[in-house]
Amino acid sequence: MTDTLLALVPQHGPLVLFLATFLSCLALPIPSSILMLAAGAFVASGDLAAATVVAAALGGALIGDQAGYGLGRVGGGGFWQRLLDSPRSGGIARRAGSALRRRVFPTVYFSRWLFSALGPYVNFAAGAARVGWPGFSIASLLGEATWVGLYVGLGFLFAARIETLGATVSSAIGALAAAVVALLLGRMIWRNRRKKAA
Amino acid sequence: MTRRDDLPRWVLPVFVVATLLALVLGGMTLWHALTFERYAEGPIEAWMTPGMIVHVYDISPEDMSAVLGLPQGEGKGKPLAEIAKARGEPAADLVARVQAAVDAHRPTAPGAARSP
Repeated sequence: MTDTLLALVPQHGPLVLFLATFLSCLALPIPSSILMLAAGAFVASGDLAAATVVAAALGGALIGDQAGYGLGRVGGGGFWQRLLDSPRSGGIARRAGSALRRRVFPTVYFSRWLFSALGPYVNFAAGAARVGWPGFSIASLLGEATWVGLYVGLGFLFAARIETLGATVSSAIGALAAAVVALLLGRMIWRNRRKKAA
Repeated sequence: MTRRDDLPRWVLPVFVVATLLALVLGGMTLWHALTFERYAEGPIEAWMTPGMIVHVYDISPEDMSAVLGLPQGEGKGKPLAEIAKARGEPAADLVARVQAAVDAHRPTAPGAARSP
């Protein structure tokens, strides 16, 4: 499937990139990273224009973030309330919501590109936990600009190796996201054990 | 009966799975990074355009046009698959011809020749 999508990039680059980044912000399994790397390589070879590539990828990602946040805000309220009311998950949900509101910029900014596998869930959680829209949107804009600039730039610089680079970056992003989840849960387990022992 | 200070049941299994995933994917990342230099240009693929092949592989635009059998500049922005389809040729045949031309024009290839 990736090869079919890659073949669409030189001919319909902006549309493909817009849809790929939009859908990946909604947690759909679209290989948007490799598509942006390929778009960078096609910019380097003169097949695509840098401005349209960046504008399309950034536009799709920003609208995708807003859609995820909106879905959380409109449809996630009930789900979030059930989590808050649950005897087991209530404490975690309250702490997660309060941490997200306190650290909205780093959480949203870094989940756009460094921990991008977590991005769609942060969008939904931010909407459901009623995180302020202006703060979310500014962090989303800067984070997505970093994501798009980084990937298109890497594709431009390493046009000869985009497939190897794509595999490296995908595994690195997965590893970072899993490490963050493991660290947060590990800290929670550690604190719980200490509290029980006290 | 659940106690308020109990963690949800999913926390421990998710922690274990996340830790294993982080280790496996971290190992894969390290392996990719260490062997990155070893992988120079990969093989020619049907999604590549003539422009990209000229940019990435050591082949001149003139030689590329000769392999494709198209005037220079024609086929710009089209992947090899599309060029082959327009001519009613299997994409694999065109890819193989381009690959052979690229291999022949590598500086290290025996008898490699470049257009002036």
